[in-house]
Amino acid sequence: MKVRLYSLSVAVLALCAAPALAAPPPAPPAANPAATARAIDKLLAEENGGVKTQVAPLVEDLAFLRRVSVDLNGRIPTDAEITKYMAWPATERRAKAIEDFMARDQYADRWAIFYSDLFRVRYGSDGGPALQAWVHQAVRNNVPYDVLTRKLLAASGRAGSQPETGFILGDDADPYALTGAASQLFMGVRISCAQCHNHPFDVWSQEDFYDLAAFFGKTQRVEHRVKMQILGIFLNERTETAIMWPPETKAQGKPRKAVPAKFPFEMDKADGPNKHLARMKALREWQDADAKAKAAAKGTNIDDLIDGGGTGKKADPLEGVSEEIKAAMKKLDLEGDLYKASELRRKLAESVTDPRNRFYSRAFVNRVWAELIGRGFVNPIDDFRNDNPASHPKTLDFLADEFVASGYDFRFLVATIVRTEAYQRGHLLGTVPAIDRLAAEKAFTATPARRMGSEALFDSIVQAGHLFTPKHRPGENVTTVITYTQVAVAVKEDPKNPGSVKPPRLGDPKPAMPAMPAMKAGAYDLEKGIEVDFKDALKKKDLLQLEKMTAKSPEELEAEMMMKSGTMPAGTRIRYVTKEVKTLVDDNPRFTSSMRMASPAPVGHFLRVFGQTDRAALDERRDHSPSMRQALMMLNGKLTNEAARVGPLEPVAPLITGAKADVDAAIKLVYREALTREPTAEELADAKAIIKEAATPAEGLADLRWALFNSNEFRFIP
Amino acid sequence: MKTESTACTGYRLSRRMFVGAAAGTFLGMNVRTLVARAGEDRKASADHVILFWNGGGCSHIDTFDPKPGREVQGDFDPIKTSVAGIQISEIFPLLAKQMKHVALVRSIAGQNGDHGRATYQLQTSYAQSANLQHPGIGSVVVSEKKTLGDLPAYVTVGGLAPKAGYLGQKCEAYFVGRPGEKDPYLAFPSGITDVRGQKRLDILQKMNGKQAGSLPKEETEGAQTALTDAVKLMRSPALEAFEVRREKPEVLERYGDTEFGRSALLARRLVEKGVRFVQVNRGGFDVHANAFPAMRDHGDAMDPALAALIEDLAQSGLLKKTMIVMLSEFGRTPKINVTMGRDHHPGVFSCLFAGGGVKGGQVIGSSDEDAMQPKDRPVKVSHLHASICQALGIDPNKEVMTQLQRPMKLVDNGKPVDELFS
Repeated sequence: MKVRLYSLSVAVLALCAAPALAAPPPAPPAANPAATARAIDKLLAEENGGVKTQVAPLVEDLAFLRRVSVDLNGRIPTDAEITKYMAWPATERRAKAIEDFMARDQYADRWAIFYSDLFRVRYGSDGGPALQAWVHQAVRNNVPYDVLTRKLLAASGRAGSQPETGFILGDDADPYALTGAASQLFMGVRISCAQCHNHPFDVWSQEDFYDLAAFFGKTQRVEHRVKMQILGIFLNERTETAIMWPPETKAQGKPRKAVPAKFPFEMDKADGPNKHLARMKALREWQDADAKAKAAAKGTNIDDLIDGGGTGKKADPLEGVSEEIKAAMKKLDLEGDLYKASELRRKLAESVTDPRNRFYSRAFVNRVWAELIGRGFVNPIDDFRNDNPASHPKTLDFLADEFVASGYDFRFLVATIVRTEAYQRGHLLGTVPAIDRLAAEKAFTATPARRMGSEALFDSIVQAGHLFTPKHRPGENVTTVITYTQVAVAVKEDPKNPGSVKPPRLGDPKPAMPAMPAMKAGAYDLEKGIEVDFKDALKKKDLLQLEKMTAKSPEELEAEMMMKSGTMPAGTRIRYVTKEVKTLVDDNPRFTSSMRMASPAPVGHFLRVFGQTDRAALDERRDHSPSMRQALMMLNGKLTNEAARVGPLEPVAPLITGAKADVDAAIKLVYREALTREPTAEELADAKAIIKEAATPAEGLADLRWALFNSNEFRFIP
Repeated sequence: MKTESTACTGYRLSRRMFVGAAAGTFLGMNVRTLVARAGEDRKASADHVILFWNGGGCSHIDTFDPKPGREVQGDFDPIKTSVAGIQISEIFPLLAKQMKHVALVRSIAGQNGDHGRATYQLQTSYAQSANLQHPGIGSVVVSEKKTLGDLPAYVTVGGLAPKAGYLGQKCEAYFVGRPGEKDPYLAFPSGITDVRGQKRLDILQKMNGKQAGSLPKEETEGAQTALTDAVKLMRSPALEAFEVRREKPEVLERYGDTEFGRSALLARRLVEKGVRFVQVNRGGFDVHANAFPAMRDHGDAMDPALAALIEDLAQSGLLKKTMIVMLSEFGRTPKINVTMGRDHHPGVFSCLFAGGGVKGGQVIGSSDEDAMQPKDRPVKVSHLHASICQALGIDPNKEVMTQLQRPMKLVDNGKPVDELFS
């Protein structure tokens, strides 16, 4: 294996001690986000030229804090963060906030979602869980985007233990699907349309598609089974290609021949105006030398450095598996490492990530720009075509080149964009005619109003409602939970119709595949997966199991026993009926971050209702537009209701009840926590009236908070 | 592995449509341009559809296409039905009595033996493609038909319906997990009285009103519509349709005290309130081992429910306007394997139609003597979808625009099965 050393960020390397033996090469100048941001704003203004659009002023400090907190950490700021931020000198506040947010774990959580959408990471697909964790870790370790891409495209081996195989396996290793995906995700070109016909508005031909597809022509998904049990899924390379020309539909019986792989995208012939290719080369050479020296000094495995260590502690996948199967699996693990690497896909990965391939760098910076600003230079963000030109081609190329020069440093890219004035501008008022608003947004002299994404909305409500930790004391929320259980009943044969009922054979009473994931309604399951509190409590005590047991009558238990032992009296059959089980639970609400749950969430889940896709089709985008179902979940959901309810252990509690109550202070705190601002005088007066009219001040405050979470201002990023 | 995708077969883009599409996106609005075919006013024989989805691949031989006397027969004997000459499996004694309302198609020619791909095609009529999410037939129906009443036009029970794809969020199914259980999102949460809930809504209304003007009108209007619709639904008396337990115990008993029985009953109650499309999902048909006891259990649950549903709808007259369909992703192998199971068999399989203008008491097409392949009148999957469209007066060839302005037919080149309606 060819070792690549340049995946560590400059920052991380700088922290390590230099090796004693090798003389450290001189470090190239570090990429500078602030200066790059200034250059971008200048270029944008130049490219806007004589076109006059309305210009929105930069957002105020608190609005900036809210915006950058949602964009970098996936949730609104806390009261403590607001205080800390405002205590910084006004001229440094924004830069410090950016640094602060980018240094946190939530930064990786939030941008792992971006990458997971991009790579269509699906927890439920082959190797999906490992891929999701791997992507998260790559963001945390700031693995350069080109390194990440190469790993995904060139992967071979076993799903799970080689996490990056999950990308190719996600498309079932289908060469045609992968061709479309590789082109559209990494290069912003919808070459997949050319699978069946020459593109009507573009240069891509059906031959181009087949040339590119040939890189995936030998890619193969292999299942290993022992006794019907799948022991492992592997990504392998076979000897014959599946890509033949002409296509089956055109061949009409004529012989078809194997298509040799050819990369159809043109490469830059010369370095750019700012010598980004030379700078990138110098940087990588330095990183190579430095990492090698470091490895030699420490005796560290290079791969560990690149991957940033293992993927953490894993659950034993062999638990509960027979010895025979374990042995078979161990043998497979050995074989797994020997699975043939793909020379074709390695070449493809080299071409895609070649710094001279501007399709690649442009597509990515355009995507990240659009994610942060709400609009790309090219829209739709993955539809680069000659007749769909960039709004600001020079700015786009400048940013793409600087990204390449930084060594595809993702943190640099994000830090640069959020420092631009283009990012920091406000929206034009809704009263401005739509056509003028759009013109300004297109010129990046105003930002479009964006709604928070589903994860950010969820986490922001959890945050503002103090639900990350319990806010009630134990025993304050005892409630009855109703669950249902299936119980077996022995049934006598119909005497009027003897022989009509045959005795059951032994076997699984519930046939193998429940074709669709059965999701229960009720009990707010659609906000669960996240909501672990009482489920955990139950698990520990096995309470639910116990209740289910006691819910069964002796006859039912006997029927189950007979079923299991196969001793059914003649003329008797087993039927299943549903029984209701009531359980007392201390339902003290607590929610964990939605950014760390298995994704995508099941259909109907809060996250899905608010725009998370199932990450299956290439065309799917997050749709943030409102719907009735969203409204219902916000109005009546457990999350909003519990977030609004005042708990005795949260900071606002002593301000609203008890001897030291201070209603004004309570209202102001709730406004800061929910909207990142103080209430206006009018809002304060309204809020006081609400609290006064309510049955108790705490109820009034809860009503206020509930309305704040449901308000448009809460959901739109300022 | 898939060799050729058919994803682009519907590709056609006229100059006029392109211009229209470009204008539609100019203001940055999320428009769905519907390109109607000129001048065709279709007559609908049905207003509603109840689709029973048998997930996992339901055996055709053990249900609607028995092969008595052949080695492939399995455990079940055929029984006579109320229609002379038509026999079905003994696991459906009650349904057999309703055969005069039922049309069976015994010659579906499937193409996919993989659960995922076959399910996708049977539910959307299109072959799965990486580039495009095609809408399910339920979404197609509600995108073309006006909503009746207060309830969501499209409801799925006990499992997931296919996605609406390019028809948009509006055409997604409303999900009911377990029939008879209340959807907690349709009422204020426990502890919040109606009076207090109304107060909260008033506070919210005032708050949003003060913010109006700072946000684009098209955005705030969309949010307001969603909110108004939500509150309207919460207050609708039609919601009681979801409360299956309001039915008399005798009725519950007739449908069967099973989840499937309650689902069928819920489907009837929803259709009575105007719901256009109900999908009832039932899994567990993937019987690779011990197929026969499993299928007998399925019969026990399905038979009374289907029979009672058809009977009730016929009695109330609603069957005339309600098309019942029972579908699965493929059939099972005629050959019984060593574990007494049957494996995946897309070569030929069966489905059931009743009501909504369907001529009952007939069998369309047939399979060969061992139910391996269609013998006559092979029916393509898309023809089934086109038939559903036909009943509802929807042109299956009508083109709609995807978000990327690519025109797609509602159904993938399907032709209605005319015999169903003659």
